[in-house]
Amino acid sequence: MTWLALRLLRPYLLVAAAVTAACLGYVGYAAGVVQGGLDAAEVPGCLDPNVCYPQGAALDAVLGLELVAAFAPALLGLILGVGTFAPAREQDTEAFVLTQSVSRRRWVLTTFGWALAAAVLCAGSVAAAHRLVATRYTVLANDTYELLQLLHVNSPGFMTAQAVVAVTLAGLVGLGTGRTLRTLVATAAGTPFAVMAASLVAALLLYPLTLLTGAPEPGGGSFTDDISALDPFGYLVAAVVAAGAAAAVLVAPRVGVRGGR
Amino acid sequence: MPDDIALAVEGVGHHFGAATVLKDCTLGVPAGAVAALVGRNGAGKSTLLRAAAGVLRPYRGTVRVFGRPAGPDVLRRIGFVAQHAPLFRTLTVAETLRLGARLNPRWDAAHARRLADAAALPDRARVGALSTGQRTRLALALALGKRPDLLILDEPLAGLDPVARAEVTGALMGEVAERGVTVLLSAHVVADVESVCDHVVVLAGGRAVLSAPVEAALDAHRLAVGPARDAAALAGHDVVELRRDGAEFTALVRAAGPPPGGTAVAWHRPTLEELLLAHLRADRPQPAPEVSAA
Repeated sequence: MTWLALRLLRPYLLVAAAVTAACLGYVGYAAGVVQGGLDAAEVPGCLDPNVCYPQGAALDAVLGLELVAAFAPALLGLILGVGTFAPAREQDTEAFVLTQSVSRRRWVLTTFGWALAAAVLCAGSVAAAHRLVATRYTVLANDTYELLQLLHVNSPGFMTAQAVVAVTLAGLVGLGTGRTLRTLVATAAGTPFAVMAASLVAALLLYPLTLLTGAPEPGGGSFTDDISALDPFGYLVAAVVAAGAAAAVLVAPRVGVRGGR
Repeated sequence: MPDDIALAVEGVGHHFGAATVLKDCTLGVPAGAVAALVGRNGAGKSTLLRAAAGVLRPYRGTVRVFGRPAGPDVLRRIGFVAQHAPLFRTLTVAETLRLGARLNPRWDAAHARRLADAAALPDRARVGALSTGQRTRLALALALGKRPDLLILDEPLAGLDPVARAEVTGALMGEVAERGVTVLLSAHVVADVESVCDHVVVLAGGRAVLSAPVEAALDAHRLAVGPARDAAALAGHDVVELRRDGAEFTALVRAAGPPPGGTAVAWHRPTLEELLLAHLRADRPQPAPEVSAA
């Protein structure tokens, strides 16, 4: 079953790997551009936008980094999720698989498992690279791209969670509808709302947790504090999404058993 | 439920949205039979077969295969070829056969290979590049490679040329002769089933209106042909279908005793085609059987 799941996901895995490689390459390149600007201004270690606000190509590079962090994880989830079940149901190859001594549960769980693993790996790589290599530069244009930052909150956990949401949603919609285009559209439209819902749950959980564990110490007012300020929230969102995805995956074998499309 | 009933369908009902496909459908297929499931387009044949194969769970009723509920428990005993023989188009023939081996513990690689070779399927060809006939043969090789006890085929001969039809039918009959496998195949071309089936199920209006061995079904019906003025001779008979063509009428009735004499009506045993067509047409509104003598 693993062989079949990976063989069928292969084209989507290849596209996702290519997108991941492109994102990683761009993150490295853009970080180099911003650092080059800082070097040229002879403030190589500057982290204060009041002193070294990026200009020209460096500002464009920061915008690119923000865009990658904001949209690449969900895009990767979309690529991997749409290929899980919708094409198999649309082409009726589902009927072939399900009559080969393989239970529906095993087919759904194996396929979902590999798609989610690939999404975590790809989106996690992009998120980690962004955090380790690029975030320190995006701080330089915090105010300019604040809205974009809200879409990834500089948190690898939050970014990876977006990919998980997209894969899970696409898998469920694909199983339910058996239509690839419908799955693509519904997932693209539904992922932001699902992430918002998870964020709301995380925010509601964060408040009592803060009361229990005590409020975090306020930062020293440095701009670099922005890098990790929302990490607790980001990881809590990731935990909420992980729990939701696990529940959805367990329910998934029951979706679409009536055979309607 | 004993093993002498391969497939038992009881009170099955299913719908897709507002469209009811099956309602209170009940039928049985004895073990070792080669059964034809006949019905018009949209009669629910595919839905019933998918329910039997465990691919679809109907809203109502039960489907049992060799006495056990259709589903994971009996998957190993079922070979299924869905309509249009859907296979993974990007896999090669060899990969598809290997897939069968990976997914089926009872896989008979030598048998599947023999069937593939008999169909002259090129190992390296992608499934998407095969003709309809070749794809059907490959799907059949996969289904038979499982060494199933019940083989379910959804319109396996649709879209095949006469030579491919003969080859597929031959492969199927070879399997029946060799292992006594039970076969349930759907068709809406009567000629497709006439030469191979010994049991017939007619699906109309979401129900099985006939489910019986072919010979018994033929014995249980009579075709009456005569002048319209003698249509009163049908009174008291269970009329399946009545058609009038000018001054003549043709009716299929369920036989209950010797035909009445004293009229110009000719009674004879129907052919399988006449029997099936009458049952299929009977799904439409019928003229009143009480025809007054002209």
